[in-house]
Amino acid sequence: MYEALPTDTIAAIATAPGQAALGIIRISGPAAGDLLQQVVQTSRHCLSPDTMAFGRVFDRTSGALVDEVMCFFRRGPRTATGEDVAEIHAHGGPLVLRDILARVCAAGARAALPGEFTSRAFFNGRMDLTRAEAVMALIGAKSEQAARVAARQLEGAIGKGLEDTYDALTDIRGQLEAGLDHPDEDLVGPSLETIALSLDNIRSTLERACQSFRRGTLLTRGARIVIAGPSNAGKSSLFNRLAGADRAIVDAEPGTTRDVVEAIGERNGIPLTFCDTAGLRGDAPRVEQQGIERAKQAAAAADILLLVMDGTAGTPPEDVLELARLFADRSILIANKCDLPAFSPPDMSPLPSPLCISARSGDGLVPLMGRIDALLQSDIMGDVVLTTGRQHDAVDDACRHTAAALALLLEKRDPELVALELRRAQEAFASLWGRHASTDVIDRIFSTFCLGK
Amino acid sequence: MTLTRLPFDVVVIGGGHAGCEAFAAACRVGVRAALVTPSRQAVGTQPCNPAVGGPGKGHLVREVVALGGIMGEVTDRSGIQFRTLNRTRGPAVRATRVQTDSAVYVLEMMVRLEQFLDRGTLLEDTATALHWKGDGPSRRITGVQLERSGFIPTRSVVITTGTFLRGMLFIGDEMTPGGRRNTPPSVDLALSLERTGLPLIRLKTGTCPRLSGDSIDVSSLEPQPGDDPPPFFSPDTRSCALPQRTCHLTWTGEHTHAIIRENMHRSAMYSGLISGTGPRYCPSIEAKINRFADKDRHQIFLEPEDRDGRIIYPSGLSTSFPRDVQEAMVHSIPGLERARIVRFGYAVEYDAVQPRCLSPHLEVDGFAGLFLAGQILGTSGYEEAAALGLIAGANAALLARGDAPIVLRRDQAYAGVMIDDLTGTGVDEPYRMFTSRAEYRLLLREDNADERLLAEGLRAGLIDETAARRVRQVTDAVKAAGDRLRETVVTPSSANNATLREAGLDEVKKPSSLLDLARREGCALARLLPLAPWLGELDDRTRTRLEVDIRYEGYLGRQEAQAKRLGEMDTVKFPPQMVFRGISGLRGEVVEKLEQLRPATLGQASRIPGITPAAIEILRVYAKRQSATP
Repeated sequence: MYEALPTDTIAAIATAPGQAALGIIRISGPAAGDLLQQVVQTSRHCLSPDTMAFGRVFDRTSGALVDEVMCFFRRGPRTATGEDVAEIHAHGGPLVLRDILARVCAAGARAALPGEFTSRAFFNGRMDLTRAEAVMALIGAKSEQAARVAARQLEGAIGKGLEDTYDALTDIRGQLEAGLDHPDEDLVGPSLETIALSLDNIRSTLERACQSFRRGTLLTRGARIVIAGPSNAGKSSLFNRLAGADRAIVDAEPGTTRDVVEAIGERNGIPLTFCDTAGLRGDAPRVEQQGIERAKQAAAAADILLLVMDGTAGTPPEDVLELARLFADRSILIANKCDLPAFSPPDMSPLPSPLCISARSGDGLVPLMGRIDALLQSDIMGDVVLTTGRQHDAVDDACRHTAAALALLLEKRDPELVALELRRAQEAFASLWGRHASTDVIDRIFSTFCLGK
Repeated sequence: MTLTRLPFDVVVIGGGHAGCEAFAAACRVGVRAALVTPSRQAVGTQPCNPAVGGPGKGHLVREVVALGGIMGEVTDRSGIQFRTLNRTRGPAVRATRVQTDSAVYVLEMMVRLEQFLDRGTLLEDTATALHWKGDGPSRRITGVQLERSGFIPTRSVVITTGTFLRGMLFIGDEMTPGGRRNTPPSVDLALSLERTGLPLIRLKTGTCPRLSGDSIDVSSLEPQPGDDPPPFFSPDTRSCALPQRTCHLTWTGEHTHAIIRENMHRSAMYSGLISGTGPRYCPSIEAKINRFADKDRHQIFLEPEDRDGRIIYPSGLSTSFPRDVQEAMVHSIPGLERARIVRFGYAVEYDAVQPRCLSPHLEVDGFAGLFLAGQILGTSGYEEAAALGLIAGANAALLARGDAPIVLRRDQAYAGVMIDDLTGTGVDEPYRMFTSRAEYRLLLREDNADERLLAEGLRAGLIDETAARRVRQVTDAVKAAGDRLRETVVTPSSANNATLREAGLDEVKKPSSLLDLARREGCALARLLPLAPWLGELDDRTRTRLEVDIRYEGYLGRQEAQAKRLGEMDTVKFPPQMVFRGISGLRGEVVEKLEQLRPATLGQASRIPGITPAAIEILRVYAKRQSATP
């Protein structure tokens, strides 16, 4: 009876969460090779089995480069799972990894359940029972820990907002289902407009919750602090100050830092990654122009953006102002070199006035850390914060199905189709708490309506 | 007829809706079966609503019909009003509902059962005890003790005793032992069942007072006629056998509610006499007033119980008030001011078996040959009982024959959803079918029940090749017509556009298939007749099925794919002696739930609230290990 095992293709991040130099996405199943080729662009001959190949992951719509990766493909059955297996070795940031994984899933893979690689390996004879059990026990213990953490969060203020939304969704589904199952009853339900409005509210709450995922992961994956600004403003000096080591090359010649340089730190239990970037400079040579693009990308992926300006250079360049406006919610404006006689903090209005520091002397660093702390705290204390990938996926699923239900409702399609999308939304949602969507809806119907003959 | 002391393969105890189908199914499978009922004049009695069908329930009846069952025909033959509910909604939730003449229903049931007497036996008797050998989890039925016929050896017993196990009737403070009005309860059998150690629960249900038709004035009430043409359950029914009746709608009002509130303490429900759990979906009128105090009126459907309308069932007035309160309450309702109560409403409290102790083929776990079906399993409704009875009877027979039992999937039949809910999750109130219980609702329609169950029905011998051919003809015709719709291209020629204009349709601007046009016209194939006269030659069933396929295009495929993916988990079975405790990696509360509910398959485990995906993968590995080591 085990031949009937799923033949779909699964994918997951195979490396431990958190910052690391390298992260691996593993894909297993009959479509593994196809999916790899859909997501990673390699020159064709490079994808011969059992060879590591260089490739690039691009965003399909914008064409922007997501990451440069190494990839690998091997046909089953002599693989870890016994199925066709592909791997993408990417640069380690959790955001990049999740981004690539999302692309693999969009191409047709299903996000693997915990332990699913192991159980496939076991059923395909690639792992003996004792070892499979040991791995499963470990996965169980880990997921138990994760479940405890998630349960704590869902019990607290974090979950309250979501629980109200779940109740609202259950209400609407209850109303629709009551109408379908009890057509002869005297039920006065809300108008189509009212239902549409509530659905739209639910959808936008879920959307906000999904967006909070990036913030939520601060707790587990840590915060990414990107230092950006014009060339020669002293970014690398600040980076070295914050990272506490001479990691970046510091030189008076503009454009010394060509690549994004990272260093790891820790503050109040939150792991911090500092990233130094190439300067923003309009007249840079070609090779450096790429570095500037990277700086912009890095800034976009930042949790906190330190925009460093040269306090002796007058009005900052337009690039910097644009970044400051784009990422106003997470930017700290900094005027460096306050120890020099020529220092005069630039007027940034309507943006807030910059914090005056000297990376060289250390002046102003304490207030800077205070500002960083404040931003980290405000992120963590937000109303709804999803912290695990699973929570995010569940809410994202619920959001998409709610949107689909709303669309069908407005097109005046059959109510059972609207109800179907709502069921999917509610089921995805219910999985956050391990609740049972059907039971909840039937309970709701009978507590709301007087039914029965 | 004295056919005592003969060995039977299957003995069915109880002649209600479950028992009749169980007996008929066992006979169709081809084993020697007996039906034990105190009175053959009372088979298929409708002790509550004189109606069959509705959303979820109508679907079940169509499934019973698809598996060769008798409820559909009996209902059609005794129908005095036929309607399709949810007509304005989509095909998945449309449901047939039929008002029946209760007396004719019983007669028709008797006629159907007598057709099986070449293979089966009717015993007018009362079962008093079960006989088995072995103990613990390896018991086996050896026979059944009957009051008059004595000991009857048999391989298997199907118990379908409804509300008769220690049944107690309540009218106010009057308490009468009974399974239904004027019928004694089965106390001895209950004691015997109790000795088996099966987990029993106490449930409650109730019914309305019955009114004399000639004492009711319907002149001011809203009439509710049946549909024309009438929808039937059985494909063999061509026309109504009885004259058709109209129902009427009336309402309770403030006066009624005042009477009920004043007397609340006198209802058996609220005086503390009744301890059983009643269904939330079928509350007594006093429960409605109590729980929904802000509602200023409740609707009452006046449903005729017979073709002459001599007895009226006021649907919505279920009650356990004493007689004088029932009188006052009825007389406060418009149209019923002078109504005569011919039978008083009552509540009934009874023992049921917690269905979690059954395997998915309706045999008690660890008790070979003991099958249960109907209200004794904690369900409610004739249709639920019939579907369970059919599956239990067929499975008892199949196992006796040495064949694999029928286990229906959740994406295959409402009966599959129901049995999985009952045996996997269990009940804490009487279980009634709703379409919202089915996650694959779009797949489980009345219009395709015969296609869904064709293979199982044929395998079990429940339907014959003639019936199967008829089903396949529709399937093939739908496919052929669908291909033709897809492949026929309408070019934007002036002739074509002229035809379209004449038919009142929009012109085409580029070559379009007939299928495109059908989608554009909201799936109404009749509107395309001027372009494709051949559509007029399709029979109603084929056209309906084709329209469903177009209307649910995309959704059906997605539901099927999802069912296939999740269905894999239902094929991973846990051995009956599976020990969940001690599996490393499982959380304590997960283990507790698994030990309590004892899922039979990985799929059932996955439907238990609080079971995480990680736990499922762990269980998958252990299921293999436990089945590998005997």
